[in-house]
Amino acid sequence: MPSKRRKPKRKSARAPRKLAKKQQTGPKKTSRKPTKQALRSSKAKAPSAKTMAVAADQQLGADQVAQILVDCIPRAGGNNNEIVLTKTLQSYGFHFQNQVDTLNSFIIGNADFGVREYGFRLSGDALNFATPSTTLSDVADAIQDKATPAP
Amino acid sequence: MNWRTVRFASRSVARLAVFGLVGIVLPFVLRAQSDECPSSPALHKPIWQPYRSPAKISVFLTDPILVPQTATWLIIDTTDGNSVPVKSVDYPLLTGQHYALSALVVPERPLAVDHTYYLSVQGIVFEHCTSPPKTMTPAAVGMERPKDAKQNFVFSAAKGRDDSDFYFAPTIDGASGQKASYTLDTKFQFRKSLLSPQFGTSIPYRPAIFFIPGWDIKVSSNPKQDGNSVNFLVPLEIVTPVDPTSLPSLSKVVTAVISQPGFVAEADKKFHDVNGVFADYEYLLLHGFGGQNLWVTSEPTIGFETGSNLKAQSANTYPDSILRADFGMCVGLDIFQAKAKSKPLFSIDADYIRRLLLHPEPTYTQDSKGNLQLQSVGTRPRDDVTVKISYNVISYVALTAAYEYGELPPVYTKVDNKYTFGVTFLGQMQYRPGTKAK
Repeated sequence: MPSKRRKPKRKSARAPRKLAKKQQTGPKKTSRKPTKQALRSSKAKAPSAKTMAVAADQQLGADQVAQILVDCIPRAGGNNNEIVLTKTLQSYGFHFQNQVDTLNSFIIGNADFGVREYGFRLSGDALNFATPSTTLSDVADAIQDKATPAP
Repeated sequence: MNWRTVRFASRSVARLAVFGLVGIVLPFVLRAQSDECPSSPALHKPIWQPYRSPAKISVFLTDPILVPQTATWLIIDTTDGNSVPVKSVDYPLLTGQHYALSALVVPERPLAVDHTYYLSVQGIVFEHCTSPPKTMTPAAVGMERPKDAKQNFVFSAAKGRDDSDFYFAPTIDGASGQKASYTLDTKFQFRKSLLSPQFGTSIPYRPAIFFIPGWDIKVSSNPKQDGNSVNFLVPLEIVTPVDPTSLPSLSKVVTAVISQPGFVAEADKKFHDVNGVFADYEYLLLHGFGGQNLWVTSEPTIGFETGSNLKAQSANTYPDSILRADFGMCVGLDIFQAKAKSKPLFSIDADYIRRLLLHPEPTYTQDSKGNLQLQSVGTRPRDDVTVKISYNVISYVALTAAYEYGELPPVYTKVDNKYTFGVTFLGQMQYRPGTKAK
């Protein structure tokens, strides 16, 4: 069953990245290497820990936005082609506006692959401009400019 | 030459044109997707992130790169004319992929927020290339979030009617010896989020809800134009994504269900027949399928429309209320061109809907002066199908063909095998600092 194979692979693949993120976006005054106890507690309360880790006017990095696109596009019904920022959403299989709206819902609302994974929030209107002929760079810019740390 | 001969000839020409278009497309389809070296890769939107540890500049690369790289990065401070030494550069691989799409540049010392910096790179090799690009324009480093970033409603130019939220195109057609005809093609839609979506691990599920009032009108005083419907819409849109974490198997087939309930005022182009209906359509978004070269997407639709006639063209043509059950299908097919190209090479967009009339409604024909003539009243199912084909010859030129057949409410005047052909030229001029001719 493909679903049984993929689920553990995704979790194991993501774990180091989440850890790296916490180290990268952690508050400046705290130690760079969190203790084992701190890691255990942050794992137990993952969403709140991520939320606390980001401060007031932080933006998502290019690497994080690129990862959001790579994760959300195939899950929202698009294809697995390599991400090229100058290409349109239609080039990734988003032929109808309804499909673009679905992609927006994944980016805004999904806690595992969207901006929420990084402790950020986007308003429901943030990606309303997107259509099948919108380029990925426009979507990436909007995510980076409009996503704010979750309160 | 009688009317039938003319009609036969025009259909033959139209069919020949379709076959000709397919004949032109096929050779290109066969060489559609190739691994091309990107022609003008660039750095995109570097931003200074002092809150990451260590503080760094993160920058997108417009095209994928493979790692490791031996590129030389340069941070230029244009405020004092010095360069900032680079301590390290990382190219984070995307999870589950073999390539990177960004670079993280760590400077030796923190950047000053009141200075202006440019980031440039030399010697970076993009995927499918054997050598670095000859020139890569330096990109200005963003030191803070753009001022207008939180404005969700920024007015900007759209590329065409389909992309527009506001479209207004009145035209006057005249010729010597003929009466001028007036055409108005206008569209407006306003999209406001009422509820943000949330779903996934450890959070309660909620769909996205949007409020989308608007209109979509194309009317003409030319009697030879088809009697298009006029719609005023007050719909909601409810996007219900299928969560891939909790429903992994289902999400591979269906990605979302989109409901569009709303009140619709539908009228003929002269507003002689007006219906007020409540409509609800459910779009089942199936996961697309295909490969690198071709991708097919489909959206089966079911829905209903109920309401009453507000103004009738002819008396006694609506013996009962309006009640329709609808089902249909939208299919999109894209054939992709070389990886370096931004648009699909060839795309087909087909839309079919069948309205099953549960209560009788009238059908009208149009005479040569554009007046409606009652043909019948009954419950015969009414179909409507449109097919659009678009072929991007080069980046700036597209050939388009469209076919339409069917009957739309409220007057159900038949659009009988209408063919449309066109050539579209699209261009854009961009200013790039540093590329001025010497």
